[in-house]
Amino acid sequence: MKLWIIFFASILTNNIVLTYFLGICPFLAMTAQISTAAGMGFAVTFVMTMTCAIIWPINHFLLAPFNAQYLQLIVYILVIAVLVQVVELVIDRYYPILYARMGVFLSLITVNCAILGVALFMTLRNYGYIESIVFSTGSGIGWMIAAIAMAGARAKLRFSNIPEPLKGMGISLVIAAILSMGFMGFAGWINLR
Amino acid sequence: MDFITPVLIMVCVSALLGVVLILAEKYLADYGRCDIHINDDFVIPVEGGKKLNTLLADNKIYLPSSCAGKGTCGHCRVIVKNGGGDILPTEKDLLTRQDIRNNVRIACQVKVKTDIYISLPEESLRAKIFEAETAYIKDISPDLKEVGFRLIEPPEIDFTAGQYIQLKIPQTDEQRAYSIISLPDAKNRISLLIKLVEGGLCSTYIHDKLRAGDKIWFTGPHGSFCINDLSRDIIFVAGGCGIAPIRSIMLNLIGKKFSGEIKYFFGARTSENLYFYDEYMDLARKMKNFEFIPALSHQEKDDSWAGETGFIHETIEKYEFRTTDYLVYVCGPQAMIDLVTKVFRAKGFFAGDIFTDNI
Repeated sequence: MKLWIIFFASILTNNIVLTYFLGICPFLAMTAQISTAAGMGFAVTFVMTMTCAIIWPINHFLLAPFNAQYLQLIVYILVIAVLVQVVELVIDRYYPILYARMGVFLSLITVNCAILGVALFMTLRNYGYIESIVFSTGSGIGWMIAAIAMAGARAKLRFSNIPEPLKGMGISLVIAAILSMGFMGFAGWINLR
Repeated sequence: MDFITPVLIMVCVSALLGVVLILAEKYLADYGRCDIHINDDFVIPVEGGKKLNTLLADNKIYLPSSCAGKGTCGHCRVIVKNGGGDILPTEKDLLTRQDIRNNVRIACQVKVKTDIYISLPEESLRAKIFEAETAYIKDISPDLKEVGFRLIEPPEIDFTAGQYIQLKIPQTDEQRAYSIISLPDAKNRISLLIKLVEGGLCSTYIHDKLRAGDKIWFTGPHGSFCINDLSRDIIFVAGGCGIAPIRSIMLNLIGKKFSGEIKYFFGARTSENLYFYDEYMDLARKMKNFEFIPALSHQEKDDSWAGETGFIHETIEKYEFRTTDYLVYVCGPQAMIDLVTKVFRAKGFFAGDIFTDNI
């Protein structure tokens, strides 16, 4: 499959959060401010890309030759956990403001299902090394775009007149639904399956 | 020998990841030796990478705090002159714009990564950690206890009337602040007033579990809610549990034969909350320069109360003051402090003459 198709499809038509509903928790929790959403987006993209870059060789040169694919889940989770630790140390050292703003959600990237989801999709669809990296970067950027769009919409909400029962999470979920319908507009242009 | 393969694979993967983590720790998490310069006076060498309040506590400098370093109480303030990095979003909610201009930071959020220059108030440097034994627990009302502690190590405490201590809650990292109600002359013991707060961590422990003879630890004394100028007349305003520091300050003044005039406004909810009422009425009868004005905000129907009713700031509003040359000490919940301060300001009192402490 052509690389550009994988890249744009993973951002737009097969957006990880709006089409597959993976990574919803930080998508709702980290989108109060555009800058936080962008920071989280960068962290997620970085962890996704690095995870796939490391997992692909492990899967192909270690698990596959020994017929040990059943270890995939546990190995993937270990790799993600270690990577998140490293990312946390980097952000704490060089971007303390971002670190303070992300708080516990930075460590929670470990259990962000979007990352494990991308790693498993990549294995399932038998992507090559370059394809995997393009796919994971695309998915990360897709998550970031969705999160920034969400944060932008929620910033406007602060000054709008919302019916009492919808305030807070209610209206956020409605926005997420409308946003995902917006992304459906890209359907048919390109597709991963 | 099929089971060997997965084990070997897992060992390989774990070893690889372990190496990555060790390298990251070495190059990213190690900040080396940093110096904390305090008040341009002395220097504490520390291992960088930890929170400022932890490093200070390791070196026997205790900052007030009641949230165990979670960044929610905002008590552990320090002035960071240099080396603290940018102010963090987690601190902004706890600081005013003026605080930020004055470089005030929340110590439990500041990570020491380089040499850092801070200034601390003198009283924080005097605070120590004390081991004490519960001497007595006395019921003042169903929801209020007076608890006395006898100091063990160090055996004496030096404090000014109006200061508070931070009680460490057993089996947790948390601390809660309580004003000392005993007088500074008694150096080998202190007593506190502890009001039962529904679901409160410390007050429920003290009310339900603490027995005479139990050991506790506290740090202190903290705070600057004290009287420095004895030449002027004084108005005290207390609401709810705000009576604690005021009681200490006032009894200390009376004990020292203070010659100025003292007016004491006390806002309680119902007559059940009129703590120490008889004692103060007695004092007011005996002393010409002491006036006691209690007010009930939630008077019950069958109550025979004949004194002031309504919130305490409403009572103060009705009251005529001879001059505005009083020092005003207000202690109570923040909302009450704000209202009372507004009333005094409207009556022409100077902002610099009004001292407040919230509980």
